[in-house]
Amino acid sequence: MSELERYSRQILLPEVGREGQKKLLSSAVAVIGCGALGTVIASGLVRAGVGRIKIVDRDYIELNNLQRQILFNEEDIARGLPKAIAAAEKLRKVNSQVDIEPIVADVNPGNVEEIIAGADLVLDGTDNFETRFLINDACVKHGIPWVYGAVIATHGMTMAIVPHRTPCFRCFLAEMPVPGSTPTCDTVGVLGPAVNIVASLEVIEGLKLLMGKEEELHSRLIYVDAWASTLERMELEKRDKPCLACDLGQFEFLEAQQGSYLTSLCGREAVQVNVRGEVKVFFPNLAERLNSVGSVTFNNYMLRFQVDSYELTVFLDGRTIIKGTTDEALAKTLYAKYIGL
Amino acid sequence: MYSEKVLEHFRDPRNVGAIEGADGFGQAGGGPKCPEDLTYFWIRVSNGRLLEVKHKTLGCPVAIASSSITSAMAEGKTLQEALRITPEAVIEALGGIPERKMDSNLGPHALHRAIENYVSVHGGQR
Amino acid sequence: MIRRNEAMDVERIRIDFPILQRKINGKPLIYFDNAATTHKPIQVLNTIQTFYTLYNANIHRSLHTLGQEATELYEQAHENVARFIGAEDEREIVFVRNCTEAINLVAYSLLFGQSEQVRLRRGDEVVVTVMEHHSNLVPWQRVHERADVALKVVDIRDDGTLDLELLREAITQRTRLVCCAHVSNVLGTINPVPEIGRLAHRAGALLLVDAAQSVPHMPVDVKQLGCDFLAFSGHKMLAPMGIGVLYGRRELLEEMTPFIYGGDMIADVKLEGSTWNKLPWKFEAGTSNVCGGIALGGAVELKSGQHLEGAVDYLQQIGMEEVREHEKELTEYMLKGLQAIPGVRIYGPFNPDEQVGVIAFNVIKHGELVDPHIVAGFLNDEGIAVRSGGHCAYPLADRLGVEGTIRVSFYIYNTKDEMDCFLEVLDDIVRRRLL
Repeated sequence: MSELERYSRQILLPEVGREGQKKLLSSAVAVIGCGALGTVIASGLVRAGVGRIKIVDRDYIELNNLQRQILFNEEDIARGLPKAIAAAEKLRKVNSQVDIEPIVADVNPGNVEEIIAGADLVLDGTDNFETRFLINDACVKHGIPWVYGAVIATHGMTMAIVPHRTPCFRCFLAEMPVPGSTPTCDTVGVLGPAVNIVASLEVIEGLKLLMGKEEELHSRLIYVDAWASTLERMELEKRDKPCLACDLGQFEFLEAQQGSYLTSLCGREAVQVNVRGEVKVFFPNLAERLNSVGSVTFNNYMLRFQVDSYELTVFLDGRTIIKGTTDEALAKTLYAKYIGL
Repeated sequence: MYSEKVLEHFRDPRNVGAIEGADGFGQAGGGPKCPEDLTYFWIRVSNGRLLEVKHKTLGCPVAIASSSITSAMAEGKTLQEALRITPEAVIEALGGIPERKMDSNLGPHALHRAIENYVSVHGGQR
Repeated sequence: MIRRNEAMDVERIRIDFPILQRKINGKPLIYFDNAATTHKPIQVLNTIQTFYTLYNANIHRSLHTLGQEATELYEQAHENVARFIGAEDEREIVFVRNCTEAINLVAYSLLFGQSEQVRLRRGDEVVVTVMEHHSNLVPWQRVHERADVALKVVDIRDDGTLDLELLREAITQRTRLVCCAHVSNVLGTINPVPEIGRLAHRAGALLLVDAAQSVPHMPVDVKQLGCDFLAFSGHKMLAPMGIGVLYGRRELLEEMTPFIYGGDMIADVKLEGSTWNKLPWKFEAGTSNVCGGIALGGAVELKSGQHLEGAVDYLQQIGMEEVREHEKELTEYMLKGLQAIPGVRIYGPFNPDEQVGVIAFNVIKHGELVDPHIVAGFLNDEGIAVRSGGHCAYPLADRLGVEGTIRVSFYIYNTKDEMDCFLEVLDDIVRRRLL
C-alpha cells in the first residue's frame, strides 16, 4: 500500500485508479531522444510510475540546451555528461521505485529493433524525420504502439500510432522531406513552453495506451499553436495509395534502403553524410535559413556553411562533407541540426 | 552432372582469342539470371564462308563449353548454315545439360550478332 | 604479339575487362584509381573459377591426385613469379596476403628471430624515407618502440625526389636495414634503388624495397635492383586481392625465423619442439590462398595441358616495357593537360621519365586550397574514379604541407580519350562548380 502512496494523487482520478496504476508499474517504455521533448516525456513517465524506462540519446549537453531541456543544469555541463546519463541520474532521485536505463547511442537500422524490444510503448523525443521513419518501421513491424511528437518555433504536432489500427507515420508522411528543405530548431528557434505542451500531450496519450484505454485516444493529428493558445484536431485523410509500412510491410528505413549513411573520409577530421534515394537539395532556401546562424555561400553545385569550428559542404544530392570532427555521431547530429533530416 | 563434352570443352576450349581486323564482331551477355556472364565472338569471312571463328568467354563451365563448341561447329560453314546453329543445337551437341541454363545461349547469340555485324557492314554480300 | 599501335592495343585489352563496361551515375566508368587496386581480365577470372571448379584441393599433404595437381600448380605459380622478377627460383618467393603483410613478416622475423646475421636489436638503426606508405613506416615505428631500435626518416626534395646526400648521411655503421619505396604511391616518383642499395650494403645494412607500385608498372629485376627483400601485392597487377609476394635472398630467408606458425611450415613436430620446413614453405603456414597464387603466377596442369592463365602471363604477353611506355605516354599527356587548367597545383617530379602513371594534385580557387574530397565527389558524379585524401602516407602529406591530395593513377586499360574527358570535366568543375 505504501508503495502506491506516492501515486495517490493520480490514483484518485477515475481515469487512472489502482488498476491503471498497477498497469503502469508493470509497463516498459522506450523514450527515443532526450532533448527538449524527451526530458519532459521522461520526467512525466517516471513521476507517473511507469515501471521500466529506457532513455536513448547520443548527444552531450550544451549550454543552449538549458533554455528548454528541463532535466539538465550547469553542473551537468561542467561534468561533461551525455544527456541520457544526466537524465537518468536526476530521475532516479525523483523515483527510486522505477527502473531507468540510459543508453548513449545513435539509433540506426542496426540497433533500433534491439532498443525497442520488450517495450510496450515508444515515445518520440527525436529531432529529425529519418529517426522517426525508422522508429515507425520498427514499431509497425513489431506491433508496438508509439507516439509521435515534434515542435518547432512556437508550434508543434503529436499523434498516437497503434500499428494496423490507426494510420502509421508513413501513412501521414509518405516520403522523407528533402534534406535542407525543412526548418530546424537550430536555424529558426524554439520556445521552451511550446515543447512542454506537446511533450505532455505525448505522455498523456502514452499513459492511455499503457493503461489499456485505447478507446480514449484522440486518434487525430493534434496541432498546437502555443503562441496563439490554440489546439486543433485534424482527421487524417484516407490515402489513395497503400502505405508501404503498414499495408505492404516494406520497411525501407529498417532495411537501410532509405535514409542516410556515413563514410569516414581519409585525411583527418572529416566525415561524409550520404543520403539514399533520389534527392535534390534546393540551396536558396537552405542558405536563407542557415544565414541566421552562420556564414553561407553557394552556387548551383555546392553550398558551404561555417558555424563554430565546423564546416559543412552540401551537394545537390544531399551528400555533405562535415569538417572539424571524426566523430560519426556528432557528424549526424550536426547534419540533423543544420541541414535537417 | 556436367556431361563429358561440357567438361572437355571447359578444360580445353577451342578457338579462344581475338581476331585483329575481324570481319564481324558480336557480344552477348548473360541476361538477368547471370548478368556477369559475357562472351565475345570474332569472325573472318571469305566467299560466304566462316574462315576463322574466335571467342573470349567469361562464365561458368556451360557458358565456356557452349562458346567453344559453337565456334567449332561454325568453322568452315556458310553464313546461312552458321545462323542455324541455335542454342538447342548447341545443347544437343554438348550431350544435353542438366537444366535449361541460359548460359548455353551466349555462344550462338554472340555468333549470330557477329554475322549480322558483318552483313550490315558489307551490305548483304553472302 | 601486339603491335605498337597504341589505340588498338588498348581497345583489345579493354575488352578483356568487363567491369569497364559499367556506367556510374549514367556515365561510362573512367577508372583512374589503379594505385589503389586494378581490375581483373577475363583470363584471370576464368582461372579463379577453373581452380575451384576442377583443381581444388589442399596442397603438400596428400597422395591423392587432386592434392598433387594442386600442389604442382601452386609450386609452378611460385616459379613463374620468381622468373617474372628475376629471382633465383621459387625458394625466394613467399606468397603472403599482400605487400603490407610481406613487410610485416620481415619486421617480425628480424625483431624476434634467433638468427645472428639477420636481426634487429637495441642500438641498431633502421632508415626509411618520408614518402613511405604506412605499411613501410608503421612496422618500423613499432620495431623502434618495442626494441629500442633507432628509426631515421630521410627527407625528400620539394619536387618529391629523394636526396641521396641526405640518405648517405643518415646511414651509419649501426644501420642494419634501409627500407624504401621503389615508387611513391602518391607522387609516382621512381627512386634510384640500385644506388640506395649500394649505400646500404657499403655500411653492412640490408635493403628492403616496397615494390607495390613498381612491379605492376615496369620491368623489375631483383638482381639489377640489388635488393635483399622486395614486397608487392597481386591485386595491384590484375590478380585478385588476398595474394602478395615477399621476395628475399635465399641465404637470408634460410637464416630467418618464421613469423606465423602452424601446419605446413614445419618439418617435424614433437612435444619437445619442432623444426621448420624448407623454403619457401617455412613462411607459408596454414592453408594458403592457393587459388590466388595461381591467379597471380599462372600455371599449366601437366596431364591435360590446360593453361590456367595468371596475371603474370597476361602482363608478359603485353610486355612490361610496353606497359611502361604506355603509362609514360599517358602521364605526359595528363601532365600537359593538367597544366592548362587554372588553379591546378601538381606535386612530384613533373617528368614522365622519373615517375610512373601516378599524379597527385590539388585545386586552388580564390587563393585557397579546395578540399580534395569535394573535387573527387564532383568527378565521381561524372563517372570518374579517383582517390582523395592522405593515401595512407600521412607524413608525406605533412611534408608537402597539405591535408590531402587528389590522385589519378593509370594502367594498361586507360586511354587518351579518357584523359580528354577527365580534363574537360575537371576544367568544368574548377570553373563552374567550385565555390
